Amino acid sequence: MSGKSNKKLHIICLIAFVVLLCAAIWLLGKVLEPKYMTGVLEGAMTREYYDEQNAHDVIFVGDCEVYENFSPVTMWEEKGITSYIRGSAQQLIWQSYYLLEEAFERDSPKIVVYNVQSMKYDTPQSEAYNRMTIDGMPLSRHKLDAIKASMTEDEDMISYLIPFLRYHSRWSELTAEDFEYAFRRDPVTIAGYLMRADVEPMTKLPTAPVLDDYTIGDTCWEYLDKMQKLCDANGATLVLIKSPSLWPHWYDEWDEQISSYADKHGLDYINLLNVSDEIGIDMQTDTYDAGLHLNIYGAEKLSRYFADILADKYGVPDRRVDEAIAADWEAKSDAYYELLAAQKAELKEYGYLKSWTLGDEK
Amino acid sequence: MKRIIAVILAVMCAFALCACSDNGGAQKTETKTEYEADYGELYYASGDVKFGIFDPADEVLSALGEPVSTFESNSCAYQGKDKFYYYDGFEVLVNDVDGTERVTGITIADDTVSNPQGVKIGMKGDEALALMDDIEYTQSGDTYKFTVGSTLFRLQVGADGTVKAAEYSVAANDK
Repeated sequence: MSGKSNKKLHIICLIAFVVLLCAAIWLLGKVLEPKYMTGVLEGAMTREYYDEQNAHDVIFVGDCEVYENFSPVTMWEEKGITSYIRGSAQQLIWQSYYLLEEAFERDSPKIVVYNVQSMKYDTPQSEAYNRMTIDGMPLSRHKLDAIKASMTEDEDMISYLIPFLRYHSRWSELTAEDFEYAFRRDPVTIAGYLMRADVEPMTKLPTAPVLDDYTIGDTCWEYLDKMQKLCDANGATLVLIKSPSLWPHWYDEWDEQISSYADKHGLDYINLLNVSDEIGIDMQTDTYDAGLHLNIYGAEKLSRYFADILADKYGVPDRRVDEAIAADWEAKSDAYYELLAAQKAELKEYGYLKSWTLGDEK
Repeated sequence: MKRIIAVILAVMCAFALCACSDNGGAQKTETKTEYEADYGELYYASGDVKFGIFDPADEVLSALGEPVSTFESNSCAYQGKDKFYYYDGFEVLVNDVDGTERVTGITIADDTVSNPQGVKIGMKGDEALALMDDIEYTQSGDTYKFTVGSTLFRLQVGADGTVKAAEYSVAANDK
């Protein structure tokens, strides 16, 4: 009898030990994982989408050329369009696909806009960028598939699932931010748009590097096929765009391949570089980093232009008559203008955006 | 029981150690690596200044003097910075390599300059290849690639048979 009790006690102790160990690992992972609340904000973007309360008629996917260049608030103000940018730094096409697959489970976009810039990459590129895109996804088959498709040679799946394994060496770099944001995050975007109100005029762009092969890789085409099928299956229209950023260089050879693919598959491809003048983009005032990304002034011009296309050509409805949606977007607009005012104040005080950059840009 | 706990702890230690080689996420580890110039004849020259891939940028830029202009390209989320320095007829690309700023690219931008072998933009491709005749090359489409040590010199010949582009870069980045 006493032997049996002892065994029971041992089992209870063992279970308690395992539970405590798992809790400790989870807790440490929460503290140790990067929070991206200052400086490098891009790593905090993916998870913000899950806080959205209302559906979106338009979802953008892609890299910095969407999350820096399009302002959903402007599209709302202009045409009552509800949109969200599921963008992230160097988001590769397979990541765009899995983020979209996940989005269709909780959202019902009529239009999916994919920026084709990232199709220059046919293989996994960088762990840091992978982490910024994937770590914020909740555990799901979409996340697992995204990890599998994205891992570079030195990465392993387990460290994505148990952040402590990847980030334990950050213990010596922990700051107050790591504890403050262990269980919550502040928003860094407005509907996926990462605002920058500073201006750095474009001077001269470098000579475009020579490439051995301008062929867009098979993996990219495979995922573009999948993206179109996914949109078709969900009753959405896929629209391909090339954002009007001037650097890195967008080669004519790439453009021809995308155009040809779009023609063959009945998709629209809008190269916004070709209509920069019509949009009114002035790279002396509308970029914050000399032509790579648009600042808010450029993003608002581009968004007004694109909102017209979405409403007139694709019939994206004006949702301003819906009170609940309008209230949601009013709150977003308020946050947008507060953020703009805060950035303007910092620009006035410091001459650069101290709180939204690493501070080494000027 | 003790054995089971020991096994669990051992497994957890193994998990923890498996990622010990690097700092997390966007953080970077800086390790200094010594480089010796290994570009042989694949260097560029502007006046008396001879320089090549992986030469220390501060020495090269100081010898070249004030550039006509510059361009800095921050990659998204601060994962690296490309610094371009424009001089008359050529451009120099500088990157941080293991904590030291080094020359990682040299581009001949127009036909006002030539490389030490005499290759110029706009000259006949055949002539350019002949000028480079001591250095082995491979051909990939309309691009000729000369490699010495860590340096790759690319020569692109257009449909009209003339040199359209000529640039020096890091051979290891040629994938």
